[in-house]
This record gives sequence, C-alpha cells and structure tokens, in this order.
Amino acid sequence: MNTENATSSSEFFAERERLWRATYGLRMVAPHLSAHNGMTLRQRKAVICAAAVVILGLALAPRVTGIICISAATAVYTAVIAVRLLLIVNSIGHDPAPVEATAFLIPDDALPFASVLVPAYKEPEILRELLGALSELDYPADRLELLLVLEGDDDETIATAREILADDTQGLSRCLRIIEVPPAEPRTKPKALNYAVQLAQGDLITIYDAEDRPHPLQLRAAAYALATGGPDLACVQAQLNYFNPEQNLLTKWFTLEYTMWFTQFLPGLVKLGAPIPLGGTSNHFRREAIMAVGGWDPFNVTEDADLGLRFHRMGYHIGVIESVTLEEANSDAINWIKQRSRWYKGYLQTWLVNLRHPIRTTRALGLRGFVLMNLFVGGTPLLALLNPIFWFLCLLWFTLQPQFVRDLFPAGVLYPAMACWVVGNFLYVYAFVLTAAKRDDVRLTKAAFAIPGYYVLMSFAAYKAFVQLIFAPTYWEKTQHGLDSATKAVIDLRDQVVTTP
Amino acid sequence: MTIEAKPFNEQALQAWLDATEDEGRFESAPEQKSARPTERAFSTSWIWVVATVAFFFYLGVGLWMIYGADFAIGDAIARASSARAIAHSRDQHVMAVGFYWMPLPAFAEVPFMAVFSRLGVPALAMVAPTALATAMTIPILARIGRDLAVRKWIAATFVTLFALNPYTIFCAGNGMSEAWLVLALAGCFAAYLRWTDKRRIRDLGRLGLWLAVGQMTRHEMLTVVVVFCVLVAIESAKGRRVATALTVAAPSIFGLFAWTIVSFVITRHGFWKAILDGDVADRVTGPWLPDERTVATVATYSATLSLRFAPGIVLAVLFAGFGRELFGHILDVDGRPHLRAVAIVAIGGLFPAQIAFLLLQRASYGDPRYYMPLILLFTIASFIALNGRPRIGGRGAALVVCGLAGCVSSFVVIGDPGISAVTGEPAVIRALLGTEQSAADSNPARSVNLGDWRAFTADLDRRLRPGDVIVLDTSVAAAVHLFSRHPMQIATELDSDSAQQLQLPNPGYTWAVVVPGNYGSLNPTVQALLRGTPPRGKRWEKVDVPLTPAGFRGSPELWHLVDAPTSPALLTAAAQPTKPQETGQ
Repeated sequence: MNTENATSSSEFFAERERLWRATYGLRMVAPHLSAHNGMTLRQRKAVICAAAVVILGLALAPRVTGIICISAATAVYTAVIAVRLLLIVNSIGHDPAPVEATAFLIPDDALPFASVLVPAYKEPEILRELLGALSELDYPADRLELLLVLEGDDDETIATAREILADDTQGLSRCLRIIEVPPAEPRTKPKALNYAVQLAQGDLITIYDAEDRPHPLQLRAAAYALATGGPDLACVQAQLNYFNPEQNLLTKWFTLEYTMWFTQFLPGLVKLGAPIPLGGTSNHFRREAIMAVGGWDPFNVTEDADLGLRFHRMGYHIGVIESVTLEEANSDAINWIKQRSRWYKGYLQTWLVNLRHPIRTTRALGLRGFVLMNLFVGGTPLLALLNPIFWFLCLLWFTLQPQFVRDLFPAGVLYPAMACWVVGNFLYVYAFVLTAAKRDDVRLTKAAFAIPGYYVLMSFAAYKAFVQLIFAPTYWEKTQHGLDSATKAVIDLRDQVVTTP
Repeated sequence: MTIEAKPFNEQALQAWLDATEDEGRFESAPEQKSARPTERAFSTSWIWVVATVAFFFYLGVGLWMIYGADFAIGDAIARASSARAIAHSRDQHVMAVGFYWMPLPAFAEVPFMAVFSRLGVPALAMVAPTALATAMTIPILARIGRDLAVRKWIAATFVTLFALNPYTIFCAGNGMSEAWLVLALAGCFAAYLRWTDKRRIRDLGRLGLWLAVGQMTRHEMLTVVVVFCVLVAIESAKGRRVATALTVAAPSIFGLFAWTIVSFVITRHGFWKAILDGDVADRVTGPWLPDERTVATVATYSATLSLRFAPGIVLAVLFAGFGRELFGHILDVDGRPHLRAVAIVAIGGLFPAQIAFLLLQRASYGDPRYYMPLILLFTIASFIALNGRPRIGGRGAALVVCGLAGCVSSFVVIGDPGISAVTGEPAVIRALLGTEQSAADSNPARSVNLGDWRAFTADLDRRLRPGDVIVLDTSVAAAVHLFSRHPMQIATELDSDSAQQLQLPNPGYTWAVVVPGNYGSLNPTVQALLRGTPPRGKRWEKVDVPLTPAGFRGSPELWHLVDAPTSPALLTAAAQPTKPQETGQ
C-alpha cells in the first residue's frame, strides 16, 4: 500500500510545512495575485464611488445617467460579441492535425517522468471508473505516477480507494499513490493540488478530475507538445468534451458550449497570443513553470483560469493540443447552476485580482492581453448579469412601449444595441449550429437552435455567483458527479470524437 | 514503493525528432486534397485593385446618372430617403426603414448616409452601397474562377465581361437592390462550390450567411434558399441531410422570421409586401408586357429577356462542356461532383420562372432588372465549362463572344423603350448618346424627372429660414427629403409624431410640400391641413416654383405659412385647395 501518513514527528512537521505552503505560499510570495483578501481597499472605494455616482446621477439626471449606463453596457456587449465572433471566424475552419498519432511513435526513453494528479472529494462512487480510465493511459509505467489526492477526513473515499487498490485488477499499484491532504481550510481543489504537487516527482504535471476519461495517448501528446513548444510553453490544455450529450437538453447545450470553447475560442486565443483561462482539468504543466508562478491560488474557486492568467503575466504561454478528455456533462439544472455559479464567482475573483493594479497588469499582459482578459474573464459573468436587465427592457418595450425606455435609447445607442441584439445573438446561435455540424451530431444541431434558453440558466448562475462573491467568496460549491454512468457510451463517443489518422 | 523521478529527457526527444524529421513522420495529417486540379490556382490579390477601381468607376457612373442624366429610380430614392430618416433627421428611428421591402439595401445605406448626409452629399449614400456591392462581387467571382482552376487571364476576361456589362454598371450605380442580390448569389456560389470540394463546415456556414444576405435583400431568394438546401442535402450523408439543410437554411429562416415579427409588432402586418403586392396585382400593366397573360406568353417574354441578358447561357449549358457535366450527372455517368452544374441551371432558371409566374399573376412589371443575376450565372457557368482547361480554345472563345454579345444586348435592353420603360432606364442611354426623348418612349410619366425635383428642392432650401419646418410625405416627395440640405427641418410621415401633430390646430409646420391627387399616408392629411383653418393671424400661401410639370406623377406644390392679410376675402382665396390632378396612377 502506498499512502502518505505522518507517522513520525519529522514527517508531521514536513506535512505541516507542505500544508502551510499549499495554503499560504502564493499569498506570502505575491499577495497582490492572491484572491485571499478579496477586493482591496482601493477597489472597494472605487466600487462605492462608482455606485454613488450612478445613484446620484439617477437621482439628479436619470435620463442622462441611464443613457450613459446603457451606452457602457452596449459597448461591453459589442466588444465581447465582436471578439468572440472574430475568434469563431478565425478558428471555425481550423482543423489541426491530431498529435496523438505522432506522440504514439515517441520512444519510451524520450518521455519525461509524468505525475498525474487526480483530486477527488466525497466521490467514492466514481473511483472505479476513474482508475479504469487511468489504467488505459498509454505511458510507460516506470515513468508514470498516479497521485489520487484525497482530503484526509474523507474516510469513505479513502476506504474505497484502498479497497480498489488492494484488488488491483487494473495493475495500477505499481504507480498509484494516495495522497491524503490534512484537513484544513480552505477546502478547495487548488489547495489539495498545491499540497500534492510538492510530493509529485514528475517533470510533467497533469491534472485530471475524478470523472475524466482522457484519451489514452494524451499524456504522450502533451509530453511531445511541451518538448517541442519551447521553454516558455508552461502548459498545454487538452480539449474537454462530454460523453453524455444525449442525456437531456442541458447536457446537449453544455456539450455545445464546451465544444465551442475548446475547439474555437481557445485555439483562437492561443493564435492571438492572449491570456488563456485554463479549464480545470486535462492541463499538462512543466513542473518548473507551475512552481515558478507559485502554484494554484487556494482562495480562488476557478484556480485554473487564474493560473492561466498568472502564467501569461510571468511571461509564459499556453498551448492547446488536439486530444480529447471526456467528462460527464452536468445533467441536473440545480447541480449545473451550482457549478456554473462557482465558475462565474471564480472568474469575477480572477478579474478583480487582476484589476487591483490595472497599469501593472497591462504592462504584464500587454494592452491586447489586458483588453482580452477583461472581455473574457470579466465580460463573461458581466454579460450574464446584464442580460436579464435588457430582456426586461425589451419585454417592456414590446408590450407597453413606455416613454422612459425610448428615452434611454437615443439613435446613437439604439442602433449598436439593436445590432448586438439581433445580429450578434443570431450569429452567436449560428456559431453553435455550426459547432454542432462540426461534431456531426444531428441532435446537437436541434439543441443549438434552442441555446438562448441556456442563457437564462447562465443568468441565474451569474446572480447566485454575484451574491456569493460578496458573502462567501471562497466557498467551494461542490459539483455532484456520477449522475450518468454509461460507460459504453464513453467508449463509443470517444472513438467518434477523437480523430486519429 | 519508491519511485525515482527521471528528468524530462529533452535531449533524447530532440535526437529522435532530428532522426525522424527526414522521414516525414512529423508532417501534419494530409489535408483533404481538392477534387479539382489546383496547379493553375492563381493569386487573387490583384483583383482587389481592380475592385477598388471598379468601385470608384461605379460610384462615378451613379453620380453621373443622378446629376448628369437626371435619372434615378423612384424606389431607390425612397430607400435612400428612409436611410436618411434613420441616420440624419428630426426623429431618427429604425422603423423609418419601412416594411414594404426586405431591409438590407436600405440598412446598408444608413452608415453611408450618416456620413454623407452631414457632408451635404446624401446622394452619394444612395449610390455608394450598390457600387460597393458590385465591386465586392468582382473578387468573389475571381476566387470562384481560381477555385475552378480557370487560368488567370481567362478568369480575368470573364470577370471583366461581367464587370463591364452595361446592366452590371447600371445596377451598380442605381441604388437599387439588384447589386446586393448579385453579390449574395456570388457569395452563395463561392461557398457552395468550395463546400462541394472541401466539405468544410466553414463553407456551409458561409453559404447560409450569404443566402441570408440575399433573403434580406429580396423575397425571390426564398426559392434559391430552398434549392441550395436541397442540393446540400443531396450531397450530405444519409442521416445528416436534414441537419445540413437546416444549417444552411437557418440564417435565412431567422432573417425572414425576425423581420416578419418586427414587421408584425410595428405595423400589425407580418406580410406587408404580400398584402401590397396583392393590392397592385390587378393594376400591373404596360405596353411592353404581353396583352394576354397565358403561360405561353409570359414564358416567352421571360425566356426572351433571359436570352437577351445572357445569350451565352444556352451555349454554356448545352454545348460548352457544361452540358456534359449536367447531363452526366442526370445519367449518373460522372457522379455527384457535377451537382454544381445542376445548381447553376436550377438557380438560373428560377429567376425567369418566378418573374413569369408573377406576370401571370399580374403582380410584377416584368422589369428587365430582375434578370440581371443571369449575367453573373453566365460568368460562373463559363468558369465551370472551362474548368481546368489550359487554353481558352474554341469553347472559351465562343463563350467570350457570347459574353460580348450579352454586353451589347444589355445596352440595347436598357435603351429600348419598348422593354425597359418601367422605371425609365432609356433616359440613361438617351443622356449618354445625347439623343432626345422619342415618341417610342412608352411611359414617360412613370419616370421621376430628377432634375426637376432637384431644382424644386434647391428652391425650397433657399427659402428656408432657421426655425422653419417643412411637412411632406416621402412616398410622393422622397426626392425633396433626400436632396434637401436641411433634413433636420423636414417633418415626414416617418416621424413618430407627425400624424398626431397634424391633428393640432397649430401643428408648427411653416412649409408644406404636397402632390395633389397622389397617394401617401400623410399627403392627404397635409392637403387637409392646407384647406383647414390656419392658425390665428396666419394663412397658407402657394409658392411658385420652377417646374416642368410633365416630368411628374402629379405636380408638386409648395405652400408656405405666412402672416394673414387683413382682407377676409384674400384669406378665403388663399385657403382654396388646388384641384387634384388626374394621373391615372
């Protein structure tokens, strides 16, 4: 059995030190980049001042203030939609050659030692499938370690893991270790990863979630991409997609969204040299890069997006590889809103962290990077927050046509706003239709036409995130997995999605 | 168990990379090879220079038609007037675009109008979009030629024949919708031909978006959308056909649906165009149209005009190798790639067929402009016929002759008053050749004499003082609205408050332009205002303006609100309405 238990006092102190580093390492080294403190005093003052100006403006000159607010919102909409459409246009016909076939040919002795970190919390039910998927990884066993990162007080999951390991039907005992993270606040995935990475021995650090089904050749592909990508390439992000799109409308929408994000937005951003908000799993890092930037921020609930931006700030860049990890799409609306609200909260956290010193951030990211960071990381939750306001105004206008709505939209505001609303929304929906066509799935095409319904759910999640950001900024809303266990579908869809020559 | 970490062996990997690079093991996966020969593919960057030159040439022709030949089609002026109402008017609002036509050509004028109207040259905003649309068609056509592996100079020859066809030039400068329709069709074919070749989703998306551009330009595109959907469905794998067709049709469906909904919400008529067409159906007539409307007569009319526009199309289809592609498919000799030939023939046949059908329904004037897409389709058909040929040969030479014949024929069609007098096109040729209007000009009353309108407007502009407001109906006096230097002082039926304002005892207007005996939603109301009781101490006075009455559908009148004379008799005389003129419209 290969477990990490503090049995001696020296081990105990080493464990405490690791835990301290995992929790406060980034905060100590670069406090301005840690979400621990939330908004700085200066940011709070700025927000309060802005709110006061708006309230005062609404009281004294409501029409002018309203027009200014609507204009600003329209400008944000226009910019976000324009950038996204540009990325889609740039990448929709982009069909990169799959790297897995090439990676397959790399001799074993040229491969780096790889540590695969798999954090899990209260997920005993999916461990067996997880280990089954990991056992399929095509990587030399003497150059691979699988680290199952579990919270020390998650007895049930630990017991199940030990039980599976004892059976060892998949022959993983040679390279699998269970890392027990000592119970301590904050109970977040990034803290667990920070703890585990200190025990990992690989030069290639890979993160998978417990419900992931990575393509067997993905580790090799990542190793190849990192080795040939130059020393500044800190990380490569594999594509994520879902194995259960057929389950219901929500999973279809989610699948479309992920396909769009990983096949169009991310390659487009990489092509532009923009900061990349990483996805939370299937990231493959150079060990020295992850250590150089201070690891994950344990107080940020989208530590992945934050890390991507931090890499960019520190002069690294991120690549994407054409290799797919299949995950379970959230099929329950409540569960989905919980997950999405955490993402939005994390995006807002990341945005606020990077806006603490806008000039310094602009210098670090470059002007284009700074603008794109604002449009992607800030713009995504912001638009979801703004949408219901504009839907309401729209509904009001079409039903009652009140004068105040007309007053808020003089010609200079109305036309761009209408162009955004009609043309922008349509092109966005159409991009989803084309994404569905690219996946060659008729069911997704039908779902793509109904995607505006997904926007409504997003807005629910955004408001929940906004409230949580104020009252519980580091609270990690756990996503329940295992709502679908169609293993056969996994294999079928993987074969279908992953193209190999 | 203890695992010893091994460093990332980049040297070993690099050594392996060096050793294997020569073997080509790291080459990207081979892209799908084009089904057509590409060795003759040429760069199309030069064509952008040609397109830029063409744009300024078309712009110049458009301005010459307005200011040199005093010619503009009434519908073009109406669209430009709508664009001005949206971009630069007392009451700017998007509803002013109107709901009779599909909106794209008018919307395309809005940004131009926002600039040119303020610069005092609003007519440029009428001409520039169509000039731009036609100029943009040129590189698309060149790219189609390249994709079809036509040699550069052969492609250049046919693109030139298209670009310099008199009807192309006419449509590029006339501010109407044909230029946009042709651009959309060219875009559709470019995307469709690429899709048939490479099967990229991007091209499918482009096809859908170009179809939507066409759909938002003219209603006739609906049938073209259907044809393209059928074609892509046929070429798709089983099980994907509906989804592929839906992907292509989605933008057009959305455009049509959105516009119908907006139209319904604003006008309470979702199918405004259809309703109005129904109203005019019985009145559509003209000496150039067959007296008796039967299937045979309208088909003959349509076929004759088609051949006059694109005389080479028959040659292209039947004799120049194109027919082999077409019939090869039908006989299942050569397989599916030749569906592109079917596409050309199907869509080329759609336009004359639709016009013939509408003529039969007495719902169309059978205007020659509607056949203009055939010039484009002839050019694409020629490229297909000459696909991959290293030399122009006899087939190519014959097609070039046909293209030249089409140019001459188009010139004759424009100038032929026996065919083209629907909107007065012969006036352009008359002005070009310096000839006088002849008795053969069958329907001069239909044409808007632009010179008179401009003189009328200039006179009005000179009289206007700050604070004056003119009221007029753009459906009868759009030219005044378009050419006036004082758009902020013109109130029209497009303003949201006009109808309400006219009910007031003193609506605040100091000038009025009316066309007695003509239609319009505001025109009769303004006449009623002139007949009614003027504000205390004021009276409406008719002003003499320089006019050539024969040039108008009804003579416009200019009225001015002046201080009332002391004599009650004069007051009564001044308020006496002008007798409406019978125009037969």
